[in-house]
Amino acid sequence: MNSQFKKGVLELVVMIVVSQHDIYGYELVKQVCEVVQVNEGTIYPLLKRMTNEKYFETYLRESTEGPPRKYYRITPLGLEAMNQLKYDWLQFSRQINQFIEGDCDHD
Amino acid sequence: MTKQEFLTRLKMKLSVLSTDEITDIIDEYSEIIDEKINEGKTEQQAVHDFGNVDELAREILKAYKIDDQFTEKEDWSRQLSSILNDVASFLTRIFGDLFEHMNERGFSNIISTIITAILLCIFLRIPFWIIEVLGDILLSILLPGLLEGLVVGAWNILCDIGYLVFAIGVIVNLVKTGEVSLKKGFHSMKQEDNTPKQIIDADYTEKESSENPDDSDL
Repeated sequence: MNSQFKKGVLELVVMIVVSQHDIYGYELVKQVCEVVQVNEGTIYPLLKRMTNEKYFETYLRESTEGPPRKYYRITPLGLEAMNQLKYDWLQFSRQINQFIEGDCDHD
Repeated sequence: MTKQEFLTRLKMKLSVLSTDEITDIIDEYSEIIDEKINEGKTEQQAVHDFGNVDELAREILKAYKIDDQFTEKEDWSRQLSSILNDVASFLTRIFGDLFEHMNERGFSNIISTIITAILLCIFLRIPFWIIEVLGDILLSILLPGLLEGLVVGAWNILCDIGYLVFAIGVIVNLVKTGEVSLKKGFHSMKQEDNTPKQIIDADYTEKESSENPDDSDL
């Protein structure tokens, strides 16, 4: 699986996962990795970046299994960015797919 | 790599960030590693999943729009101006706080830092002076009259600049490590508690040993 594809779409996948429900770091990594196989090390800094850019906000929630966990929640700004990104991706992938199918027709 | 080694190295790489930010990040990673261990992974595996520590730190710093490449560039003028900036803002802060919180113990911390800085200035001059004089002698032997004068003049200026930059760098370093003990000094002033001086000194040496400039970056 081409790593460039994965890189490009990782942000979108992460945002969608967080938008579905508030989630903590490790749980998010597990869910994201079900959709696209990436190195964990690329996801955590991404979370940090999105938080700094105010697309996510974080809060601590008490946990029965140990110390309080840091949870991520998407902000209205983040939702807006996510929808734009989703739209961009759908447009882009549709164009590429059409192009490829057009190419296949000529074979 | 063990969990502690990983966290320590990561912390060091992130040292340019504020203490709060660093603590926040390190806590999160520590918690993640613990959870993975809970799920059955070994410490090694849990840490290995993060990939290369240096790269991880680089990616994290990007989130703060920090250009980590900057620390490797030999851009003298930029470095010098940022050093001078640091010194100036530090001094401003110190004297600002000083007038608000005059207190014997905190005051003596400041005085001792200043005295150390002055002594360092004097001490550092000596090797540079020696180098300068040796250079002068060598040049006077090798070069004919008029040329010698010009070159010696240039050499002296070069040595002075070298000394200045070096001394400023050393003082800034001292000031940065001294900042921690000074901050603690102010803290204790504000709280007016009787923290024994030992604890302040211990913080100083602890900060000193962890504040190693990472020359081997990349």
